[in-house]
Amino acid sequence: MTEPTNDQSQPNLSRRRALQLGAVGAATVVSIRPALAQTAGSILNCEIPVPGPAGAGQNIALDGSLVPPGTAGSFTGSYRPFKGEEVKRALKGGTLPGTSYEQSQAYINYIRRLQQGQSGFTCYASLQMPR
Amino acid sequence: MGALFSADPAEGYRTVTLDGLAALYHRRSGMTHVLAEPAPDIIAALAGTQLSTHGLAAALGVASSPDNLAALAARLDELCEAGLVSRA
Repeated sequence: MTEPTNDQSQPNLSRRRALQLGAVGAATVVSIRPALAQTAGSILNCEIPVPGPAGAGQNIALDGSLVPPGTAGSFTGSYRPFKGEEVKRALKGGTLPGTSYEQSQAYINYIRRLQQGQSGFTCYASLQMPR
Repeated sequence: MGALFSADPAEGYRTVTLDGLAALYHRRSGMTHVLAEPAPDIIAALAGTQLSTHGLAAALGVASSPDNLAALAARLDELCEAGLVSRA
């Protein structure tokens, strides 16, 4: 493209030398694909503890809020953090591994309420990125 | 030639010329491609219209010799594979 502007309407043939069509085997198009394969691996391996260290010892209510242990209808926190990949699947309608349906819902709601500064927030936010 | 080729209208692309190459952002796919001559010219000639390889040669101002048509067919294959040109 010899024109510096965005003018795509007609090639300006009078000003230019003969168009080089290239050999049959040559390549004139290189498509740039975002390097997501590498970053996807690290995102899906990131961890989200439920609850985070700040909520240690507290239970998770069904709506995801932290409540004192023993509160009716609440669940104790997960003994192990969840991987990004596991949370991503659960967000699409699955359950978190090793949990009952309701327990998984409580944990997912907890994760959805995470704010910046809380452990696991960055991991959760990365899951929201398209592709 | 039976096949007709077309490209999105001009507004469907954003092009930046870089020293003999062109970076082309294709809005519909959100992808960016680096193009060498004559790919940008082919896309411009096909923008919002449908042409056969003969018609494309005429639009580009090159003779419809067998060599030229073969080269254009190769370029069109590349552009179809990249998703920048459609084949009807």
